[in-house]
Amino acid sequence: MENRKSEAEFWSGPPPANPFEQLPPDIVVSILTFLEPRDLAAVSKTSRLFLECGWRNEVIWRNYGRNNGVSPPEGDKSWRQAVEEVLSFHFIPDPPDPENPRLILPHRVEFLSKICTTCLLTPPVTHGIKRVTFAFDDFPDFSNIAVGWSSTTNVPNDYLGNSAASVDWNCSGGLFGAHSPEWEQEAGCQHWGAHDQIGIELNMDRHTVRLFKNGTFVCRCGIPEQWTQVWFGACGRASDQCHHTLVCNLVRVESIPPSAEPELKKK
Amino acid sequence: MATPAAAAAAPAPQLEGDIKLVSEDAHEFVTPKNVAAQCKMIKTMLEVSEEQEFINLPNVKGKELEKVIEYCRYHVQADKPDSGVSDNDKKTWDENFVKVDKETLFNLIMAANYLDVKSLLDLTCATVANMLKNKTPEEIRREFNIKNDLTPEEEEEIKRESAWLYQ
Repeated sequence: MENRKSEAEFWSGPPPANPFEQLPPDIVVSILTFLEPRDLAAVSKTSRLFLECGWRNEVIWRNYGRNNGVSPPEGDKSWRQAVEEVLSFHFIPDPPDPENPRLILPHRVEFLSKICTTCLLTPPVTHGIKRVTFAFDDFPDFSNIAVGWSSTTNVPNDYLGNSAASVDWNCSGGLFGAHSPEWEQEAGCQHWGAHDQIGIELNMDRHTVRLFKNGTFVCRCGIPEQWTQVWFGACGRASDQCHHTLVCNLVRVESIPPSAEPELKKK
Repeated sequence: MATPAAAAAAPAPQLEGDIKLVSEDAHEFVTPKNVAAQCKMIKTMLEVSEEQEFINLPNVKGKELEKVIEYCRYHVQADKPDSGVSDNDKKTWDENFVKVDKETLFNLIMAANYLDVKSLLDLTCATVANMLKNKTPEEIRREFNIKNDLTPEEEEEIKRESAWLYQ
């Protein structure tokens, strides 16, 4: 069956109507469910139908949040705010440095230099519990690679743990840096490698950090009470052996609801 | 008397023979019942009365009904475990199936919704969503003849609320 209009009909007819107006709102919502937030924002800026069915629709944000590892919002917070909180995390871009090249994308860093450097995520965590998960691509010289956290953006040029204000978890299993003296560091921190999902969970209410490897808890330590904001970060360098780029991906950011996590023993 | 659980576990009755589907604009399609039953709405009607010879579908035009039947006929065969049709082949077929003009695509969404064919509804909705991706609001308005009825306050509000996406 052919229903295409002839050219004459096409040019003489009334302007085509907005086809979305014939759809029931729940179908418009179904369509918008397939969009990423940036496209959802663009569509929602076109008319009230899309604003109401899209940007202002908690169903859309709840679906997106549930499919993307966002924890349910607490209190008065909306699903949209919960998603925003998680998605707004990104590596801090920096100006190109020919001496120390690296490619910084929102959720991915490519270390191009043979000098080890650190890339931090923003925004810093100031309250609640946030868990970020990193994963490094396969790399021929998998050593001297770390993830960590810092109370300042003025980080060392090489590893986060080489300063009193930051800590790193090396892929060889070491935890380096100054720790809050009143907490004891638990044993069990493990080495990790390519494609392992390395999680750092920062609890700014209790001033503790829990470390995870592929979703399994491996270690816990404290951070100083006076740290009011903390940045996550990753450290690495390109291979010494050959022209091979080290790639770190930000896999996930989660807002974790407070749990019945036991208090750490004081020393 | 069968318990509800036992009734639910009982095999669905085999649908044999053909059924005539009649569109809003009086086009008739003689269709195998097992193909037509891919539409949940028709399946329910067939389960109520297996003896009926035709079903009127007042909300679907012939062109779209023909497409829906084509979709159901393909998937009845391709989704059989021994069909030999790979997921990739099915995906390619689906992509080609929805390469239609905009009017037909939106009518297909309406038909899939009315006839309750979830996989077709998802396919057509995702296709429209793809047409909205990577475009500015102005480009989307032009493409779909959307009239901007937002107040300046609403425009400012969503601009402010979405600023984090563009940092």
